[in-house]
Amino acid sequence: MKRSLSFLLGLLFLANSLALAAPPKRVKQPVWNLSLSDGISFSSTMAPKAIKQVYMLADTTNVIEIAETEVYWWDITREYMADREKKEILKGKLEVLKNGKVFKTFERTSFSFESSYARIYETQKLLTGEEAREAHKRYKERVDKYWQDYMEYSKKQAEYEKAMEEYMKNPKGEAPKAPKPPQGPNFYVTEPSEGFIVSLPRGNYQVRLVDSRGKVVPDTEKNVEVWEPLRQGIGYVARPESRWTMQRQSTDPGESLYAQGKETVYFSAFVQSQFNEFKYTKLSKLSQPDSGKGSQYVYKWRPMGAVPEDYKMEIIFNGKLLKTVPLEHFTVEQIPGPNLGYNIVKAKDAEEATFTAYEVPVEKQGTYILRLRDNYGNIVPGSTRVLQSIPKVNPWPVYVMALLPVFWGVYTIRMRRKIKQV
Amino acid sequence: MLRTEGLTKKYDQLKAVVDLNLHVHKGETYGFLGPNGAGKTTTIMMLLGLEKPTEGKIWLFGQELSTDPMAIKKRIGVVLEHQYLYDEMTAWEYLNFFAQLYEVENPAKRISELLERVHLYDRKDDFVGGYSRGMRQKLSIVRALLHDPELLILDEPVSALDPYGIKEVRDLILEEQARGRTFFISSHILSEIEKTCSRVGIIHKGVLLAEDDMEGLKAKVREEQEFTVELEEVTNSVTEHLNQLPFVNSLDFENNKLYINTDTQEDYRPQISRAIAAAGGTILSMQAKELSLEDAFVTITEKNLSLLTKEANK
Amino acid sequence: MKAHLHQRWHVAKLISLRGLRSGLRGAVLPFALTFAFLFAAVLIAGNVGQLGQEGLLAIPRPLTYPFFSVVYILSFYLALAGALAIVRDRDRGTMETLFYGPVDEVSYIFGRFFEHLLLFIAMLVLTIIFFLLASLITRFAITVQFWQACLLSVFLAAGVIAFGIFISSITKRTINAVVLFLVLMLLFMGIQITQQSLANIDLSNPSAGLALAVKVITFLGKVVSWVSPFSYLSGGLRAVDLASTGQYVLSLVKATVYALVLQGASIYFFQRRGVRK
Repeated sequence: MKRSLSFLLGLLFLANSLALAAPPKRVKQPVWNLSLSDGISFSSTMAPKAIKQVYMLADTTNVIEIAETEVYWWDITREYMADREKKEILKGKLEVLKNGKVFKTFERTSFSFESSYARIYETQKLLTGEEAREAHKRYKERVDKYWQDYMEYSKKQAEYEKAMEEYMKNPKGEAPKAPKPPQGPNFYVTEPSEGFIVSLPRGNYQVRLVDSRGKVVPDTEKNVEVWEPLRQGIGYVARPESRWTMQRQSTDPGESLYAQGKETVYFSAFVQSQFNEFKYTKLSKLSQPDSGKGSQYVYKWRPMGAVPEDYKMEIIFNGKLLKTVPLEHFTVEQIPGPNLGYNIVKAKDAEEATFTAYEVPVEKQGTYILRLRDNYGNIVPGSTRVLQSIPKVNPWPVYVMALLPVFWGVYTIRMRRKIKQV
Repeated sequence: MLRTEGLTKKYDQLKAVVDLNLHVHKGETYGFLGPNGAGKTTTIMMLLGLEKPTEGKIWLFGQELSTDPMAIKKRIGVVLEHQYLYDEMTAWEYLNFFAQLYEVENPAKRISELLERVHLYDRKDDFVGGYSRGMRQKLSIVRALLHDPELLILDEPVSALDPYGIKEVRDLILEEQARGRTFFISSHILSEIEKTCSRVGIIHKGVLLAEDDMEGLKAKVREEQEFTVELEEVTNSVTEHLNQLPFVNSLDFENNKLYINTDTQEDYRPQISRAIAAAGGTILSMQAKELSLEDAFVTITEKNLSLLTKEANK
Repeated sequence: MKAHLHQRWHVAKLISLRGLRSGLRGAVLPFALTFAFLFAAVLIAGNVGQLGQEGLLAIPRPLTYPFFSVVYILSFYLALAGALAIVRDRDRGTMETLFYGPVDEVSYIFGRFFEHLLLFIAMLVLTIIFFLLASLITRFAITVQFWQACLLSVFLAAGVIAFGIFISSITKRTINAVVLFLVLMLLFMGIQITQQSLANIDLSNPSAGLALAVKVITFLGKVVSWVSPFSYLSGGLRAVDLASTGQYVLSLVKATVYALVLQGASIYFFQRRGVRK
């Protein structure tokens, strides 16, 4: 009996292991390959047949590619995967419906992405049509030139090494100069592909592929929620001169900043948007059904780019305009010698700069209001911050106040004793 | 004033009140008697709307209770056996709260008057938590009278009081009776019921066994009369003469006192006097023994209990 | 109908004022307030200390978070008091005495509810004084959001108190009310904390077990967000944080509806339970 049971258990275990080890079931089906913008960059994700809901940021340019390929569920990472090698682009137009009526249609066009390593923000740029082809051509030429230059450099390097060897034997006169290695391209352009370039205003849509006869291609329809950030504004990184490494980020427009004593505070500004975390996650993880769960009510500020250099900061002190400061470049100079210390000084240019900021001198105690004005003289929304310069205080009176209700409690206890004594 | 029709309350298998038909007239003082667990408190709870009857109806002031209980209860004053008061309030605050609840006019004057009547005025600013049981009971009575109710429902109104307190409350009840107030009193102290109530209902095991005025109730249960005759001397001649009387059921004597039990057909004192005189006896005094309410109560309940037991055993 | 409403309102008002007087004479409330103030004082002192150390402090509302901590603590205390209110009244027998008179379930329940809400408002006044003084001492500004939070806190506390009253209306004994209240609070808090923790960890490659846990917790979280009074408090704090008028008004409305629904449920269960011990 025991033996039979063990044998059965063994068979069961083997069957289970074989099932686990078996490759996932692949199903051929239409798939949406998406490059979705979050305002500054693009994320790639995909939505197979099982994912009916897509999220897109309003008034941004996004790319939708609809192809038929094999899709399988990858249990280890709990997401849908698509075989990119076997994909066949499905022909047709992209039809966007709103409230059951056709809102817009899109034609397929070629596109590519240009990535730049020089920019801090907007690292990716979407190029379409001829521009995409030109950019890719330019990139390829640049890469070819780099390889040519590298070949030249290799030859010169070999010559240099030989010359150096000789020179080392008899070091007279000027030493041979090492050749400069060539710079590789500081940008990258993807191979042009075909897709739909989609930009929609806020709303809920039904989006599908229709063929040349106007018939809906089966299993291509999805619901698309186009949403907007909750708020937009300006965020700051504040650096006090006395502790410049203690950077405080201020993203909430309702935030107050507090400073103590005489201080110069450097404010670096950036454009920011406040996103719903769940929808933001879905921009890049649509193929994972469980992604973003629990964050439906979470909102986060995200930087979207640098402020234009011509924005100026107004400093208002106790209700009066104190001064207006421009955006400047600063660098941190270590003080030479055994004493530790540094100075923050203006840098010659952006390349030399450690950071770029507005310099705000906080000399007196009081309320400072800081805000940006654009070159039209308008106050930039969400850029206002209150900076309170306050003296050093000891909070112990707050603790004393907190204990005051104890007296009331003692009084009530005495009263209750009196009730019982009567 | 108060009427119930087929009032019944069942808790699962237990029948607390069965087919109760009460009728309390305006201006009368109705005594509601019964042993522990008879259904008195359940009945009162139903009258106040604190328990929902299983069957039956209740009319108060000519209106069915369920039509407008809030308005009806404003016309009732209640003092139940246990006094649940807000210990953290002073007597004045407590009464003022209830005066406002019942929308009493000129509450300060009314409270002062009533506190004076029960001799609690000097303690009006003391916390209720420090009151004795008797004081709490008196305070509850004051609370019940604040809004000048037409009907007063009292459950054991004097149970916690000393004799002086009992007299105070009795006088208060009688005064209010004279003003035309209707009382519904439930009590174990039968002597007090006898002194204050005009009509009595006796409930036992949820069933109303008897309901009548005092004399009628006693008459229903009286099977014998007892006369106590004090003679100068009890002689054999006297006892023989008396035993010959047809209405005499039994005769007993102790020293110079004779105890004669007769039927209840009539008052036999003249015949007894003549017989004693004929036997040469000299009567010093003669009294008919009054049946007490207690006797009536015990008789009725025991009798019915035995009847009920017989019924159950059939 | 009008007379009825007037009568009910009159009775509810009296019961609530009586309860307010009694509550202010209670021994526990002052100590609950002290605890709340001390907690807030620690948070405020923390901010002061941080500013002293770092020279610069970027903080949304240095007094609003400590204020909400006071609101949380006071609401919790008043919810517990609410959970005991009806049960103790019934146990003591004082409820029965009330119902001899022109009192019905609706006026009673609302009376007890307003009693605790008035207590909260009384404590809120003391809290505002505390924070005004704290602002003077620390120089941390009282912002518009602080006053918005004050107004909103009344509605949020109403929801929490209504929850306590509901617990009281469905339990028979004092100990049952306390246990049920604490168990539910722990359960709600546990689910919310777990949900918050899951929101902060990387779920891009969850294991099968974790994914199932996420599903279950998400579902329970949804239930808790409707049922738990403290989720309405959290929602209110979020609304003030986001400085969104829409969210603020929605918080207000949701808390009011929640309180009314619970009051209705309390009346229903109270009618079933009855007045007697």
